Amino acid sequence: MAMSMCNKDSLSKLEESFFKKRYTRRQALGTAGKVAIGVVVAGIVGSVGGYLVGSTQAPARTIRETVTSTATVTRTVTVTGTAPVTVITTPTIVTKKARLVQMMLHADPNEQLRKMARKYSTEVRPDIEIEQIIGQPVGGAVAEFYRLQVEAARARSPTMDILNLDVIWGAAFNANDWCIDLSDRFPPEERKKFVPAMIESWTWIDPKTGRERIGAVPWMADIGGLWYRRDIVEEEEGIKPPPDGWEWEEFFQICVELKEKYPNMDPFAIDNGKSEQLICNFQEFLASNGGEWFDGEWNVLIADAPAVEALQAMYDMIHKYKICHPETLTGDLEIARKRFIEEARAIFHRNWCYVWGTSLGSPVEGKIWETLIPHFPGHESKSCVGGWSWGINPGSRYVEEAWEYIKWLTSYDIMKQMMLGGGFLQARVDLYNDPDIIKVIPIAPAYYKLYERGTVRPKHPEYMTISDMAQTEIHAALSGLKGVEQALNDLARQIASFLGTKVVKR
Amino acid sequence: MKNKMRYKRRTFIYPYFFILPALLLSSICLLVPLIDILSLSLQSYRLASPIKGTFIGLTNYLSILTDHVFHICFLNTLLLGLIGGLLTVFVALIVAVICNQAFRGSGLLISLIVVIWAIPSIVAGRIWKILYLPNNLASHLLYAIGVFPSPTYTLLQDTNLALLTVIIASLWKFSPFAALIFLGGMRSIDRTIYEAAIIDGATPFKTFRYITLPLIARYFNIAVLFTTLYITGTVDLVYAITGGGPGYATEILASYAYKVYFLQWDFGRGGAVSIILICWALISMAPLLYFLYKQLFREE
Repeated sequence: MAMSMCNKDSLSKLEESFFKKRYTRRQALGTAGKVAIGVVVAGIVGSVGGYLVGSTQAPARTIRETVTSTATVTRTVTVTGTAPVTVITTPTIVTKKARLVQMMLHADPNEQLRKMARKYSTEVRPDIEIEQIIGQPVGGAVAEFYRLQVEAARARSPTMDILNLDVIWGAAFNANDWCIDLSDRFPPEERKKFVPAMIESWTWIDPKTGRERIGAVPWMADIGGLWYRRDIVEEEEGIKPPPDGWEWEEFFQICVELKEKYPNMDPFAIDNGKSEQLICNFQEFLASNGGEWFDGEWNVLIADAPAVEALQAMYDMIHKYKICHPETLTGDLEIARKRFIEEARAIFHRNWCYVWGTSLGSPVEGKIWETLIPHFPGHESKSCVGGWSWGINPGSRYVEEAWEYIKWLTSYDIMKQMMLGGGFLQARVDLYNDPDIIKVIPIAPAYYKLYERGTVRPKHPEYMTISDMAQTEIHAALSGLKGVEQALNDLARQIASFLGTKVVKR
Repeated sequence: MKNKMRYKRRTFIYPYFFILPALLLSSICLLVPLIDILSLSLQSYRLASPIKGTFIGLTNYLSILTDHVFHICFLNTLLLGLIGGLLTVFVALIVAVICNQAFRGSGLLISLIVVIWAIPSIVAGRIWKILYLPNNLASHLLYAIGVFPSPTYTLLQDTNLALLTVIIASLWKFSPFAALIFLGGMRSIDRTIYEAAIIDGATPFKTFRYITLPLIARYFNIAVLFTTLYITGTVDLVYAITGGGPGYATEILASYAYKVYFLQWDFGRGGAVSIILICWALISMAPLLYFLYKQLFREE
């Protein structure tokens, strides 16, 4: 008791002396200054130390993570003998050997990829845990998704194992070794079963060694096509799309005629806004005229006659024939799609395969179909290929496990299950003629025809820059800011100067 | 002698001693990235190129300064800053005067202004894009009164007037901020000055001209400085409304820098653009900063 009294006294004395003591202004400011300097010095030391620690190399890839979790699996053992058959069910603890981090798009229709991940880690490989990370934010910020994965791959960071890669990134990821070469694991005979243009975009020949490599396995397929109102074009007007597609001029004339007959409708809803979509459209016009971006030595061919003709046709489509919806140059793909689907105010529409799904429950349900993109005389129809592929991060500590999972996820049966379950369209071509698939997606064979005519955008490691330059110049030409030929000449000069090659006109 | 030394120390050395921590922190936060950017700008450093970090001297600067798109961006930024900045301050002043009046609902008006200011630029851009699209109520209305040549006409597609779409949207987005600055200034004026003026028979216009305006003059610099900086740096608004188009008709320096960095992934040229932008910001804002400094100095 006395002790506690004594403590109380001394405490109150201390408190009193502390609070009642008079400090001069100089003392107070001096102390404050010392404290501030101390904080700054500590901060500097901390940051320098942290920087030095952070810059040391990541642990070797062979080091495995310690077991972090367990799973319970029910095993059924049937015991037979002289006695009646006995079934013994015992729960067994399975240790998780690896945890795979899989990058996901923001959309996962009917949660098919999530369901498959659960299935894999419970039924197929209970020792594998799969963590799915939504890398792409809503709104299709593809550049951000690219950055995220490139940073991880460049740093050989083990934070993600399975990369989810856009078809246009093939050259960049292959050339920079940002994904593991799957050539041995994914043999040519297996590649033939996937959308050819997707395989082409992921196949890369090393300019130094001449060795071919493939960096990813396509999983989600998408391709551009010409959607149309079957009820108007075929049933009312009796116009049947030719099996090889219309020629562009022929198509424009049909649109002009339909515009007169249906003044409240836009003949063609096509998004030519300044975005990647514009490059997809241009690619279709260009490829369907036999045009190319580069020759074998990366010399620029984009100011060549076929390219000029292609861009002129795009310009005429908007300004001479006036068949496009008013927002064609200023809107976006969603505006064009809504015009065709929800508003039912467009007859033709250039879009990707997902349009079919969005038509269900809309005013145009059962009234739309898809045909080939038109082409120039003497050339065949070409559809721009899109879609996503699975690659493996070179920094992954579970390369084999990741590959096993990708192999399973891209197997015929699993892809079929995902398509039947209402997931994304998958990249195996045989699925599109599978009777079970056709029962659920009757338009699937039409997609097959498009996949056969797929064309890829420039397969160059610097594609993102090339695309950005092209978007600006092509949009400038279509907006009338400069002439078609001048825009393409400027574009060719820019690309050639950027790549250090030259402009070639054949 | 000793006292003189102490006086000298107190007057000349101590102030620097006390600002040293802040100075050190700012230097670390500013100088380290600046040196990094400067070093990047002298290299060929492209994300997708296998060869990175080659020293190329001033090539990046030359490439940017001779790029015709950069020239257009520069001109657009100048126009946006001058027209947009001045209009914004002018509109903000009117709004502030209205809000400063004692009437029912003035509080609600101020709240609405704050809401407009708080809307993220990307959302504001999207709203304006919808308004600018052809064939909507606004375009039909403008066609009816003879402003638009047809209901399908849109400013977004007009290569000569597309920048106006960004200016109007920035005016709407950024004038509330300037209005709040002015309003703060107006509210700090002593009411008795107004009462004296009214007794002397001053009209409302004269009260504004000879009392309000001179007394809020020092807030002009701050309002112009901040709104111009906001407007000329609004990449999100530009991208949401026009995407820099048609062609590059609405591309500004800030969006150009964004493109070089995050669409072209060219960190070398991006660094050079950043340095040019910093220099441009310092040069263009120098007169304002000078006036601001003079004002503060005079007040002292």
